Amino acid sequence: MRYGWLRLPSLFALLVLTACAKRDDTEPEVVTLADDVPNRFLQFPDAMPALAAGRYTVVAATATAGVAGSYQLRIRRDDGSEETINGSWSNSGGQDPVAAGNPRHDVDMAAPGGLQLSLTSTVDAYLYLLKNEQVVAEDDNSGGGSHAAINLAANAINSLAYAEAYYRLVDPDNERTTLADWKRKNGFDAGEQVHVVFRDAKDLGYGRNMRARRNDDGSVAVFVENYLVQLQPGNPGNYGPLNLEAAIREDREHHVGTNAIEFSPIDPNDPDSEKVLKFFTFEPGPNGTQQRVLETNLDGRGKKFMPGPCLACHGGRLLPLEADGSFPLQSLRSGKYNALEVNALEYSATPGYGRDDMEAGLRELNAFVHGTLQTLQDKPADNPGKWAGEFALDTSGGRYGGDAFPLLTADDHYVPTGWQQTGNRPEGVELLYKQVVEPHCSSCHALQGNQAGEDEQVLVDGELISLANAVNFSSYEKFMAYNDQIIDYVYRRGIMPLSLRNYESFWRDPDGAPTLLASFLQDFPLFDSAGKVNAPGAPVAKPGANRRVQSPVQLDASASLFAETYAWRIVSAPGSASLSSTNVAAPVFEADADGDYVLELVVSNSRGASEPALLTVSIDSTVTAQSQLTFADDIRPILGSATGLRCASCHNSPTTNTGIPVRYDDNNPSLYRDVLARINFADPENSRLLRKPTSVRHGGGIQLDLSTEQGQADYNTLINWIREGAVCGDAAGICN
Amino acid sequence: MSGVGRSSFLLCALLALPVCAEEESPWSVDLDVTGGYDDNVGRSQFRRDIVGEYFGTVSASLNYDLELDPRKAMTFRALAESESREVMKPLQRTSFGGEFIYRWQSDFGFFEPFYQFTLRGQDDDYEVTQRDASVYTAQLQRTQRLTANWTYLLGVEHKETDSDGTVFDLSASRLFGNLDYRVDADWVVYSTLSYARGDVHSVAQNRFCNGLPAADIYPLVQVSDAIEPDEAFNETFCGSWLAYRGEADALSLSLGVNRAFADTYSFDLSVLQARVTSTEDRDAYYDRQIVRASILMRF
Repeated sequence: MRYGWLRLPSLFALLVLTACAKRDDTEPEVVTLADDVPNRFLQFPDAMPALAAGRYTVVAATATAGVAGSYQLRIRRDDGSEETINGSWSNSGGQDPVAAGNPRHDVDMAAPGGLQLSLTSTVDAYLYLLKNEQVVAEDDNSGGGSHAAINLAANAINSLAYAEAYYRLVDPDNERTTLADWKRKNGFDAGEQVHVVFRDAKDLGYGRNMRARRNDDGSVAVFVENYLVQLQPGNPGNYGPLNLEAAIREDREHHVGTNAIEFSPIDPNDPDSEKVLKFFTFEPGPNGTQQRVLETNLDGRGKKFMPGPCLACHGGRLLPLEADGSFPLQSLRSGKYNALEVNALEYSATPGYGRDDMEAGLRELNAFVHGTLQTLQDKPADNPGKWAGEFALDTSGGRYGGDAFPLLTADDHYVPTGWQQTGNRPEGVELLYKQVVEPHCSSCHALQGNQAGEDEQVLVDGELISLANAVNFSSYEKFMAYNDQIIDYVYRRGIMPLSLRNYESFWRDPDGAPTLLASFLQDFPLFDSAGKVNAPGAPVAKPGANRRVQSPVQLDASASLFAETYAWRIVSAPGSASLSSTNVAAPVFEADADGDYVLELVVSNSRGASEPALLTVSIDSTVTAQSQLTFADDIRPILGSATGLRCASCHNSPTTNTGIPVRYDDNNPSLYRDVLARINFADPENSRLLRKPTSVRHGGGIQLDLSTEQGQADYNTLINWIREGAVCGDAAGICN
Repeated sequence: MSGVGRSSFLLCALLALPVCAEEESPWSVDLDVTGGYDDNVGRSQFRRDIVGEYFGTVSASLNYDLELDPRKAMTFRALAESESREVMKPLQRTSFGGEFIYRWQSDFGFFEPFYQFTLRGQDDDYEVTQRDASVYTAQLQRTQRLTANWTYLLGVEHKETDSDGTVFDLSASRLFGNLDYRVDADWVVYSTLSYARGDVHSVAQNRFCNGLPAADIYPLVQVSDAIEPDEAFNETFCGSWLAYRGEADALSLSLGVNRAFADTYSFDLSVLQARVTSTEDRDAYYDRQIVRASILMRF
């Protein structure tokens, strides 16, 4: 008994303490994804980072030569890490990026991306970023006075600056900063003409309360309030049927934001100017207002800057900002309304909100959309926004019996002409359309493309097809022209279907749509040993295309998919060779003798290791050193900019090729910028600049024939130039 | 470990403790074996969501009584409990905890009231993480004999549940009254009326097995302050199940009979009927009935 009193409370205390361990679940969860989970939804495949991997040089210069002073240089990287360098001038070299008196600092980019440089100093400073001694970027003196700054975006089309530039263009007088103002500007004071409520089960999963009106001037405005009953952060169950009930009741507790689109004059002050689509996103603000926002999180996978997540599926073609920081008009003109697929929406069992109740409103809304598509289709041939809208018009009107919309309800079984069964098409092509293409691809793809090269037709499986605009998937043949890219984008990268909800729905039953689509694809390589198709997430090593270069050469395999670790190995070497590192994405390879060196790369993640990928680096001391390649001297001749040959024979101005999106002739004052806009440092071989001329899906046909020596040499020059940072050079009028 | 296996383990572990067999020992072990039927395990409102099933509970406690003076006493108690289920395996539970009880009587006397203050901490471990919880209870009660046969009890209680989920974090307070009638030396019949206000959790399907949405549960969502997918029901049944939490009034009545056999064990049979109604919307409610039979033993 003497110790009982002490022993029992101790036991008791122990048990109570065990029970009292604080649970930590009620804090909002940060959604973390495993390393094999695709996470590039509602965005364009080409992020277009500003810089390639490799070594750069920062030069601290001054406005005038011969001054002394000190400076502090801050280098901020995409991951948020920051480095500060203190330095000084004793006798500065002025605005000369290679002058001896201007201090230099090396910056290594381990992967393609962006960089922010800022320099504060005791004297009026100037700042340069060099690659291979060529100026890549220089101070715009935005800080003024002694400050200098260079901001290079990791994603050229998804940044704060991009969103700000967009709103400056579509609302220059800031007349649409709240939903109430937007509604007023779009005539909603007179009431709405259409009001429908449904769940967008296919793309976003929200309950959507949508109102629309078409004004007398032909403008069409639609806004949709999005409702989300959040169960758990990151839980797909958030995007379920309760959202529809919240939308029906307009339950403000679950109202997460409003998307608004207007089809209105490009110049707000000129009602007769051409009409374009303008996107706005509003979110609940103070006192019940809905405030315009620059970025939005539409799928629970993080915020993205406007207008990217909207234009991604509204026919958009996003290009980097213009040199003056303005939003590119070509991108603005690329937007289109999506027709609503009545059979893909979810309706409520609540009386008054079933499909039958919504059908008339949806028909009227689709008639509005159809009208805007016709307007865009009918633009003059010389209008830069000229677009080939036949397929979009076919699908939006076809479901209602034609352009006049004679049917009162949408025909769920409509199959467009390009997808109907013919003797030349394999059995099941209509099933492919109804099970895969219509539910997962065509909404966005029907709005893609332009009219350039539409008259160039080739024979594919007995059908005369224009592959120039194949990206709109208007026919089975056009769709199949993307055989390899479908395998890559859908099954390897997991970036298509474009929206997360659609992706989840596509992969919900791997034996369903994924297997059906795979059965139509030629040389489909991704069946497992049991004959099953696995969802994306497996690591894929991508060391890049074989290259002929001088030693040393910067390699970059950061385009590899789902790669957490890298393992390089020299498989065969005619001479002594080495890698600066064998376990990084972008090592430097060095060899002391000419010849073909075969390297192997294996990447891995939690699913395991990738198949080994081989890269042949041909060291050739007779070729132009890749570090010396410039746009002015080496790329323009390939494009034919000065001669009007090859690319520039069609990509010129004025052109007979209606809707051609880019001009490669020397008369284009932003030739170099336009070429840069077609380069993707993050995946160089997938750059549009290389993809188009090597593909039959090009109005001008194959212009870089890789089966010829000349074609291979030109391709080698292009890929080497891109991988070395795609510098311009010194040519006056081209680079300055 | 299966529910039955786990129960056996607990029982053996506790019985293996060095329990003093002397009559005057302050140590004792209580053992409670209960079988019952819960007609609404998920505390659901809609008929289609209601799941009823049998359960079995084995609980044991090691008690240490300390008499401070003839009118004051304390008890320290270490608890272990295991609950097994027939269908809802994810709701099978193992609990460990401790309890402190302080009893006192102001004045001596057969009819004088005595009071009891209880603090209890318990860790519940379910087979789904979401419901794992630490439960803390504070209770104060007054008991008084009215006659040689009638005894009443009045009490107040507050309970806090801190779970690994969100919906299962609960806070509630309760008033309760109990009336015992001692029929003879062996038989007691009793009744307990209880009123509680605070958080309750419920379960509902938001999508049926055939994929159709259950739109009519939205009013339940509107009275909820937290919602999350219910791991236990989603693991057990097809369709999609949500757990939701809201403030409610809970009124319950239980009737029971207890038969004592000697001093060491008794048999208890009770039935509890409860109605739980949302404080925000009186049309949001659920009913629940639990019938249980127990054998209580003291060693």
